[in-house]
Amino acid sequence: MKPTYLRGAVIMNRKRIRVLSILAAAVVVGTFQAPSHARNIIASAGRAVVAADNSCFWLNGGSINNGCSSRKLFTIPLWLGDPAGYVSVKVNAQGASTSNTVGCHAVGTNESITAVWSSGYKWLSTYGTPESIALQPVYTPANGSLYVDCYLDPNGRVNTLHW
Amino acid sequence: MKRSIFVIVATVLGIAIYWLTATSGKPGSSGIGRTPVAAAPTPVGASRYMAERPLPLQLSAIADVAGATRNADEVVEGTKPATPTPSVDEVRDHFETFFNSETVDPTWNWRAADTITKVIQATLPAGSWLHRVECRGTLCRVETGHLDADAFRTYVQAAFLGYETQIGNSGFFASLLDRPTSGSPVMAVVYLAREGKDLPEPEALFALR
Repeated sequence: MKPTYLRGAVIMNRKRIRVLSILAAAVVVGTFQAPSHARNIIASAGRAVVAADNSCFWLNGGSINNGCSSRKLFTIPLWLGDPAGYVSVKVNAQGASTSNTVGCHAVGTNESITAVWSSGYKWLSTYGTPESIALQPVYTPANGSLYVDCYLDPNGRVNTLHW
Repeated sequence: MKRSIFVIVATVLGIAIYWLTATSGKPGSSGIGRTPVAAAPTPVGASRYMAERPLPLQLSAIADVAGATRNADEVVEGTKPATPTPSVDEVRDHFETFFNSETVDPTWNWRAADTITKVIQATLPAGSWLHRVECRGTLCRVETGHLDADAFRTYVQAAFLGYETQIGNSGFFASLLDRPTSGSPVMAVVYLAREGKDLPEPEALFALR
């Protein structure tokens, strides 16, 4: 049997090891980064601005295509996180040519919609393959809102949005 | 038994540390307006509407390190300072300062003002009026009056948010000058980017004093 002073030392070492283990485990778990604030949404979450144009837009794996013979407007609401401020939106879209293109702008508003900020429309610069349209940052105050409007030419497509 | 206690304590501590780091970017309970400071003097060269209308209180939000609604006590060591989140009034005031600091482009400003005037007059709702249009280098400023906030929204939608109008392709910032009150008309100002140009970036907008 071990002497008392040795048993005490052993017990103290075990306690130290437990405390250190707990702290180490806490540090390991806690160092996992919090999820980033980047957000994504699929285009089909939106709708036609003009209700009569709803039948023009058809789904294709979550993307939205304009199946009509003229340019149509589609809107996609985006949710805001904390804190409010300037938000940059990217729209992944595709068009076949300059006559079959897609252009979008982001709009931020305050709660009562007495202040509106638009990024200005940006249009596809390449055709035939998906392109990410980077919109200028828009200001969204606390409790405000954010949405994107896109004009789609015939066969123009909007896939996803990222902000 | 002791092993299970160890596991539970480690898990609780880990969750606590994770929660603290995850919520470090969220606004505190103080909200905007906790520590207002005295209004700044009217900048030199301010427009007529600025001279007639006192500047709003300069809120402490711009001085916050990590978001306008955070309490100063909640500043987290080692975090990258976030872009300040100003109030609508502050954004408008900075646009005004930026606009007045621009050099006039005489080859463009009068033609742009003429185009905007025609578009606005064609799209103003009944009861609204156009007060003034002025263009400088990369921005135009449009001042209008409306019977109420609904008329203002109708005007913004018709003139600026639709691509169909000649000025609907450009970025803009539109706001009422005052909080609307029932039965009283409202004044509004719109800062519109020059066609082919973007609105000033936040860094450029807030760099001017």
